[in-house]
Amino acid sequence: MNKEAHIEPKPRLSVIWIVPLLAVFITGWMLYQHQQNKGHQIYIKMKNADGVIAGKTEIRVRSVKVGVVESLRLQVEQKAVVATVRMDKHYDSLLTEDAKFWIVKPRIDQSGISGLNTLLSGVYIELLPGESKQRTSLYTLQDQPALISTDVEGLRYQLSSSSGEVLDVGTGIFFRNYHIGQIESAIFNTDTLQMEYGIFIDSPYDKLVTHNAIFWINSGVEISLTSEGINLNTGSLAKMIKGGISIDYPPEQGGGEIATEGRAFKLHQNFAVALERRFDLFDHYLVEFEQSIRGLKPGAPVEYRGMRVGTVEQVPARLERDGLPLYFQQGNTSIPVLIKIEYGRIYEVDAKAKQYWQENIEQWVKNGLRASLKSGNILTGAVYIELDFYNSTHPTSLGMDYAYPVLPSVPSGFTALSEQVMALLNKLNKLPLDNSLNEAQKTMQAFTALAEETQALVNGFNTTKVSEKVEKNLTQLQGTLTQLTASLKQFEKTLNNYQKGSGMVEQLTDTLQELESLSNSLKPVSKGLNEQPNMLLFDKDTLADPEPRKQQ
Amino acid sequence: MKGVIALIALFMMGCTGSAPAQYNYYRFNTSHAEAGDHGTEQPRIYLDQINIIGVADQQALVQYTGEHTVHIANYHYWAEHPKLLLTKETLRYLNETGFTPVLTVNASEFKQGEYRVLIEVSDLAGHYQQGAILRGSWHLYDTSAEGTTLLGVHPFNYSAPLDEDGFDALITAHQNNWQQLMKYLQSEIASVVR
Repeated sequence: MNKEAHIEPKPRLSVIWIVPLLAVFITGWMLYQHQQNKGHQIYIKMKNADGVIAGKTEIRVRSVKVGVVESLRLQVEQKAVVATVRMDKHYDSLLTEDAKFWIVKPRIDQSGISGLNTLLSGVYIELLPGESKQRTSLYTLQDQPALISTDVEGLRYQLSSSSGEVLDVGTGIFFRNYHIGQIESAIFNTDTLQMEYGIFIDSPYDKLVTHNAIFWINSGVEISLTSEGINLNTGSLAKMIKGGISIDYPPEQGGGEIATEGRAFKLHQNFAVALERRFDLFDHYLVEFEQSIRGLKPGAPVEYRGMRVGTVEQVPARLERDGLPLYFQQGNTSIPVLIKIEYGRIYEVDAKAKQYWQENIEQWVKNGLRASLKSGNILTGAVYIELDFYNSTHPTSLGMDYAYPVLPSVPSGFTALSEQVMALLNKLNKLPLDNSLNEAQKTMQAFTALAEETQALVNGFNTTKVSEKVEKNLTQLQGTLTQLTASLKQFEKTLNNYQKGSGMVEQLTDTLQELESLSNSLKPVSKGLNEQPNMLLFDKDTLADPEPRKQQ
Repeated sequence: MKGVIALIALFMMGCTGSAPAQYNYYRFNTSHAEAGDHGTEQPRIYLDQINIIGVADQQALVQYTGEHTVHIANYHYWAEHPKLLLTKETLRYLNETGFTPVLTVNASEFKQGEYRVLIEVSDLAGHYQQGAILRGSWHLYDTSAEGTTLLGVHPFNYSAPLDEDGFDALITAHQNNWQQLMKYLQSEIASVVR
């Protein structure tokens, strides 16, 4: 029997292969899902990775985790650290071109203390989404937190300041001490040599920024020592520490039309300077003083009988003639001072004030209007310019020799006094003293003769009629005194009668009598108590009184 | 407990004492005539309240029991203060003798031709030898619109022996002394006034 083995053909692919294939498939599917679930990868460039830990530091938006720092890589050539950040899948839309990143860590700044919670949890990176449609994957970490979120409503304005003080970004802006905004940017413009600030006013306070609004630096404590005295202004404690920018309207004015966004305003050094600038309509005048102008400083007031009409501009005036300063020229010993008459100070409608001033100034000067230096503050020695009418001055007119009209002046203070003394001495020198002395001697002789005659006359009066008259008067006086004495006695008697008859005296007398009676009644009791202190409890056992005896 | 009982016993002893002591009050015998109306012609005599100086200025009867000893009675009193009693007696006497006496305290004003009398008593006491003694001085003033003028100071010193033993006799002796003073006073005033 020949049996042949039946050889079954070997299957080409074993069923067992299904297992690895399935594993591969599942793995692939998992890889696919993993890739699908992974968000975008972005890179954040930072100066240093202080506090940032790979695999732990989170990216947050409004305290919600949107990503995590995967790795940190040092770029030596760029002196920077690049953090690779994996964003969660659903937050890819936040990665706009203008999005901002900064590290949240404990800070003390204008708004107070923040980020204390990161002391325990570690720092995190805050993301502020932008509004741009463009996307990017490389960002630069900001040093400071973004001040104003894009969703905060408000308006932005520009401020320019030429003062030396530089304010920080984040400095508050106050309207009558109420915080309404802050400085968003601060840039020093090298062309204009001015600080230019971008400010953000929160809504709805942006309505307060009007065309006539004035901005000034509020340093918290403001001390000004001028010819008008010492002026001390303080704000709140926070403002004293941090300072700020104040915004307000000029006094006695309300807010006008609301300023459009982006408008530029001038940032003044202080409130007083801010107000100064309101008097835009003015004219310059020159005043030449023939005396020391020590104590007179730019900014000092120019007053007319106490009413301020202008401001001193330059002391001395930097004017030239023929290439030389005005006050060094031959034949001119006066010191020129440039002032400006600010018509807004004279009348609210400055144009009318200007017209009125210019129409009358010539006549006023002819009538004696003169400028003089007056002491404004004894402590500081500051002086100001006073305009007033002096009738005894030499007639003159408004000078037009220079670029500006010249207001005539009169000396004042010690200069005026010395001039008057000199004038008096000159007059005394011119007096004919010799003749006068002779005349005086004659007059004295005449007076002596007259005095002798008067003495003789008085002696005559004393010896005759006058003594009789005096005696008569004394007699009358004695009679008057007698009458007066009688009247006084009558008055005393009347007073006595009145006192006796008055009800109060009678009542008092009765009361005293009753008291006396009571006192008399109590005398035996007090006597008995003295002799027998227990008399009130026990029988009175004092001895019987000795019986009076008939004398033998 | 013993203390409480002792206190109660003490209290009971106080409440259950012997009969109350016998007090005696005295006054002058006033068998006087009714006050007459002397009209306006009689001069007014302004009398100040009698002033008693010394130990007698009290309601208890006073006795001088020795050279230097005084006894103030424990059970024998004037019915009223002696200065009131004597003042009242003086007013009564002057009224009976034709004057118009007025207490000074009731006078509204003094007029010309009127008189004022002030009596000061220094001793009003029983005396172990003299019976009852009355010493002092009285002052007579002339009054006018300008005030008062002292006309004279009259000292007095009376003593009256007791008719019998006892306080009634002492009071009677006091009254006798006062009567003598009144007579003296009346005669002096009368000599000045009329």
